[in-house]
Amino acid sequence: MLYITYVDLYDKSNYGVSKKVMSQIAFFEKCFGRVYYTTCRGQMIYLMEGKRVVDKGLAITRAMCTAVIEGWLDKYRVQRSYIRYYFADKWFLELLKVQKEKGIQSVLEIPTYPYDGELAEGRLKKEDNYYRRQLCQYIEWVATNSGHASIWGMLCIPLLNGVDMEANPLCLNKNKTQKIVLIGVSSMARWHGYERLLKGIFNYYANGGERDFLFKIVGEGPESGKYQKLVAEYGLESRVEFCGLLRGEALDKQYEQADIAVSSLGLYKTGIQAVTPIKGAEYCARGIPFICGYYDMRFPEGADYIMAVPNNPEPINMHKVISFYENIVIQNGYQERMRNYALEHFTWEGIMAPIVQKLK
Amino acid sequence: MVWGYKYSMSIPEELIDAYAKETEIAVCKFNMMGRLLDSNYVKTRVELLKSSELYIYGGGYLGIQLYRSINNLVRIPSIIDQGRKLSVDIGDIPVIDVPELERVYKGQKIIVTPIAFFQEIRKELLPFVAEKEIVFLGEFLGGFI
Repeated sequence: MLYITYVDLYDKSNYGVSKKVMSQIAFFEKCFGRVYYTTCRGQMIYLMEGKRVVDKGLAITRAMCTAVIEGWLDKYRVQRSYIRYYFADKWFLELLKVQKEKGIQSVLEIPTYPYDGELAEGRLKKEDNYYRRQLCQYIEWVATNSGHASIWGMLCIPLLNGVDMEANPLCLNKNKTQKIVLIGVSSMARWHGYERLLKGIFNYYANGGERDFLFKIVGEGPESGKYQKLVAEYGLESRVEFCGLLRGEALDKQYEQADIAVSSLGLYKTGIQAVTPIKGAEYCARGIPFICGYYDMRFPEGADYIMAVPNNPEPINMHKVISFYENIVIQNGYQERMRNYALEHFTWEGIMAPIVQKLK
Repeated sequence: MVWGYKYSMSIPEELIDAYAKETEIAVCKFNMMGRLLDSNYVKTRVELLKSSELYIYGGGYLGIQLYRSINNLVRIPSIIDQGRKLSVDIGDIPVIDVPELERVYKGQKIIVTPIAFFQEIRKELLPFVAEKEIVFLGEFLGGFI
């Protein structure tokens, strides 16, 4: 089997994507045996198996990249493929056509849909818009978390974002102080919208708030500088801690100290209302109640461990955060309840089963 | 909008391919030129090569720029160019052609800079250079090395 991606899975800015892809590959390996995957890096495309480079080719142009992948379909006797959608163009269509002619079973994953709001106006957007309507000639099934029944004439398989339960252990909160510790772990993209929380904390103290808050920001990305500027502007240096990019035990340690996690608060900027981001599932697996600014269809409506805030640019009301915190912490076993919910609903085995069926 | 669509329908596929190829190669060259300006980054890439001496193939702008970027980090006996000349007349960079390289070559890495002709150059070098020693500039700057 071949898992095709067009991103650099080894670039730290793609850590979240890489984690998800690797989890899916691990599951595909259980079902189909050997799974190769592609990663693009430095004008090259690499064919990988585990951490080993199996083959490589020049990918300076999109035509070259497609030709390299087509060559690998034969050379490595690929029988099925799973493709993480990037953008549609004439060469991508050509690859799908070749796959179809060779009788390769394939499912296309569209990680975010709709995504037009995320793209700047320009050639890429126009090109994708033109060619994506032709995808249905070559691909029957699309995996997506959008909740649509079909996209561009292709039938959808619901794909929720799953979570690696072992890598996300239960956090039995050891924070016994009066301080409320919030944690936001992300790649700091604009749709994470942490400025809403920073402004909320600023407003809270400006209006005489006395509760002790600490917001830990974990990760690095395009918005990091903006958040740092806001913290300086609001004078929140003692209330906000930038932890940088953390993984493994160092990340676990930060989670252990957290009372409430923060999921995306700025999806309104991309025009998205409902998504199933991986982070929400991870917070749930770790048993940390969280704030989110979107509708996450994976969770039961009114789940008491989720503080839903409107999907708009308004600052977060910290009085409501305090109420949310106080309501949840008085309940015994809420962490275990969240963990059990994640075990039942977010394991890759359950999520990927319908996709595996289509690839058989 | 309407005129753009109308024109695109009448442009032959081969022409679209050619435009795309030329544009993508130009963008790629531009990005690599930019990458070469980051001396700290380039230094880390040279260290990854674990070579004390290497050759640069290509006397074009990219080849000369690469020479300028890494000349103080690793020994470069000469630039290799088919015509034995550089696209900018700079006297202090020695230039040899492939037959001469074959005479003096002792297993060093060769970084290939002409983007559009990598495969042809690779074929030309393979009779006397091990495949693992032929590194495309893009691979040197961003790939697994």
